[in-house]
Amino acid sequence: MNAAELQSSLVASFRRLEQEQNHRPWSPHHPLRRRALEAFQQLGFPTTRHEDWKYTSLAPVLRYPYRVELPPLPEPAALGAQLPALHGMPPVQLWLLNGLAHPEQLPAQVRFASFQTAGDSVPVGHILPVDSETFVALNTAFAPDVAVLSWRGHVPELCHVAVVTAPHGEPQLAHPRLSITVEPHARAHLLVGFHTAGQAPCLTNFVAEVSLAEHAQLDLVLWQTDPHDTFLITTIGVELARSARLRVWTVALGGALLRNNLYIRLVGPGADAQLFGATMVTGRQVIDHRTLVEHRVEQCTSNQLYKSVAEQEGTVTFTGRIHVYPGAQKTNAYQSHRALLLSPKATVNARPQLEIYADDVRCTHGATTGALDEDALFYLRSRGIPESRARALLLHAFVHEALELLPEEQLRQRADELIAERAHLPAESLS
Amino acid sequence: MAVQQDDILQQVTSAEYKYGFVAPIEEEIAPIGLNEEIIRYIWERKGEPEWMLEWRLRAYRHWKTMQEPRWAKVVYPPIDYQGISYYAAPKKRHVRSLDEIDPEIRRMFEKLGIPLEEQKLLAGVAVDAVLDSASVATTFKEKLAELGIIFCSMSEAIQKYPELVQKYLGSVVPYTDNFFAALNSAVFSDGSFVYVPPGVRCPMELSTYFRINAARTGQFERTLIIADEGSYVSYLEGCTAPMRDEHQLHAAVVELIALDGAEIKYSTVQNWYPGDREGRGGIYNFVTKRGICLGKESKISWTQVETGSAITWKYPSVILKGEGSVGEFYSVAVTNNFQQADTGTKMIHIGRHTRSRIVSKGIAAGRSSNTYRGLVRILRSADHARNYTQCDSLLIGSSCGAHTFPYIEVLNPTAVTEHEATTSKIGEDMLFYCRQRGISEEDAVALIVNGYCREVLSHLPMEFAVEAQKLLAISLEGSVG
Repeated sequence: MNAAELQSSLVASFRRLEQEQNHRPWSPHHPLRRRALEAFQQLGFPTTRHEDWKYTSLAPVLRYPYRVELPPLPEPAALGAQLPALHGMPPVQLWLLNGLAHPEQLPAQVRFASFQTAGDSVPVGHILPVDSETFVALNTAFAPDVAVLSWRGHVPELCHVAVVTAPHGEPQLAHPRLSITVEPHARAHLLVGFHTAGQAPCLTNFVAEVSLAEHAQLDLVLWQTDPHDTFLITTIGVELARSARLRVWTVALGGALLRNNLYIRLVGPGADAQLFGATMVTGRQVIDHRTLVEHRVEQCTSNQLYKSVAEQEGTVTFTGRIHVYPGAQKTNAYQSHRALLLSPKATVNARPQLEIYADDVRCTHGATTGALDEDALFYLRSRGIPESRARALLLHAFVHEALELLPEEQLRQRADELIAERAHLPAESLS
Repeated sequence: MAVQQDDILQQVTSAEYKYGFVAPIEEEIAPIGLNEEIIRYIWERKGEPEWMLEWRLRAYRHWKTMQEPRWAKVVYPPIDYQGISYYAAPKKRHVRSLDEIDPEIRRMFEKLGIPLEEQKLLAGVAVDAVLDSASVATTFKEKLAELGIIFCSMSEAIQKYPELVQKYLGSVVPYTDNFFAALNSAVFSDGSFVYVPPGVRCPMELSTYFRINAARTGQFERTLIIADEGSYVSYLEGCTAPMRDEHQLHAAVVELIALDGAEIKYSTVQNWYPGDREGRGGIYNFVTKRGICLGKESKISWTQVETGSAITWKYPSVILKGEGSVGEFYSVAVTNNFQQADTGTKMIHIGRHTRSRIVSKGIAAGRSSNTYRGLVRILRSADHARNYTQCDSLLIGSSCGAHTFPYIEVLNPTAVTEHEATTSKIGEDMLFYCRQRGISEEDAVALIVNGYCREVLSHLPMEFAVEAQKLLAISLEGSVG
């Protein structure tokens, strides 16, 4: 199968779903879905000739005859045991199983609604226009559900959403979708984990639209540690109102091909966005981060720190753009990508970009690529630490920097353990 | 001499574009349009050997299959490639000595301040002047010939040194490289050719002055510089054009080849007509410049000061093939009014222990757009390669744009790359400090800008550095307040 064949098979699936379901329960958003499908037909799947996909070929992803119809769903209760990646993690409060929402015990101040129940009132496409990109269009056309979470007031507990794609013997394409609102002055902590259960190849095409009202705060952790050879594409759009504050940590360690699109729009003065990424690739893994931070109004700040390690035949790509609109004066934006390239067959690509249309701004970016610091290695060895261990320590310290500010102790520790495991560092040396 | 130089400075410092005159020179212009007939016409006019015709036609046929690149951050209406003439040359050619050159041409180059006459020996610059499509005069030939250095027009080189031309022409920029390189390969009419023999250090700066004079023509020159083992050459390039309401096309190709231990220093002060304050007219500058460090320990250094052109699309590159070779790129790009520049460099590291350094200073004023676009690619074979990139942008005024689009591709774990970029404006405090000391606002801006560009300007040869500084001041005139 190739991209064109997959495209027409998906279009055929859409028509079939339309008839089978007799426009239910899709009806409220049916015209929107149709528009999205048209956009998908027009845009097609991107190739490496597409500037945004220059370094990541989707060919290995698009060769399977994915089905989009929902397979029989596993029991959420049983899933916990099936997914080793959930060990040592906080309890799951909301499952998105092949895109369908199953809420468990959510904190009291977090309101939950879903497409299945709330229908019309669910906002779709308000932050990510349905026809803007192939994968957003595809998700809009096929998402079986939209899980809506909204926070009111200060909620200290972490809310854990587990996105699980569970194929049933056949290659599966899942379209989970979240819509998140943090109301004025509210504070939210959200963890979104991506998992797969089952043997067949699967592609998860995740979309989230997030809106932060005035003075709202959100800490978002994206947990991508799936041990299977799966494909994951995420697109998250966040809009920040006046003085809102966003922090995102992306822990990207697992999967065969991973692409994260993170689009941040600062629309109220005083808004602040901080993006952090810890990435390690090994084997033939491909991890591709794309960020876009739009400073649309004055006096906003943003900061990006991505740390990546490429081993064996892995590829890490980082494309980050800071876009300062005309009139967005007093902007302060910073972006940094630092990468370690540890094998002669690994690859690091970086495109740190600035697009600036206002003059009273401070924007800087930096990008470095290199090997481990020989001096630091020598220092450790001269103090009696064997080379392999010294390497592991340095590697761990390098990646850890991106997670230093992660407030949840439990997550930070778990991430540290995973990073240490990757760096071949015995866990006991962490304490 | 001193008076002459002062006069040039005087001319250069006054505000409007000073090179906007048209010289009344009789010219032979090819019919408008582009087809195989026109290519034959150019080939015949130039009396080139058979292999050149084949080469040109191959390039033309390939060009027809190509699409104009659209990825650059520049906006312009579609160019009608059939609406311009691809060849224009002064009618009186075949001059034996410089005295026989059309006095109009001489007067024009005098106006431009180009020391065409040999008595200006003190200037110490050997000049090849290219008017529209044809090279009109080359000075200091004999003196250079004594050392075995060949410095002549491209057409002469095709006649006299076909083996060198055949070996190297298109070896760095093949006609399949890009749309504009293919077009250039098909229709190029002249340019400069330099060959420096082994172990020779060229005693003077070689210089070419490009000028578009005729209306509705494009200029397509081609420059080829070969530095043989252990040689050194410094080459300067300057360009101007008359003021016209229409846009004119300039699509040049420059190829540099450095063999073992050779060094080529290529400096450009580009001052094509940038268009008027409303953005009418100006040159479209689509240039492919590339050098290859073929030999061990060779070095290629590009220095450019870009102040002119309505649109600049230019990425002087270095392919670092020889072990331990070095590539450098120093650039100042200034845009004002409605100018658009998308410029930068490519450093392709192939050999071991290769090093490259990129220093780019962009200055945007008025409603212009100034983009740095650069690629650093470190291939698997480039052990211990090193790159350092710094690109700074300075914004003057709130309606301009400054953009940075670097591409960094690293495939070797022993390589180290660093990239840094900043964007800022001229600080109020700096301006205040200068004004306090009685320096007018415009002079203060010029002072600060010159300081900001110093790192690049210091790499220009003396004569050019002075001109470049003045040029910066004029380009930014009227952009403050």
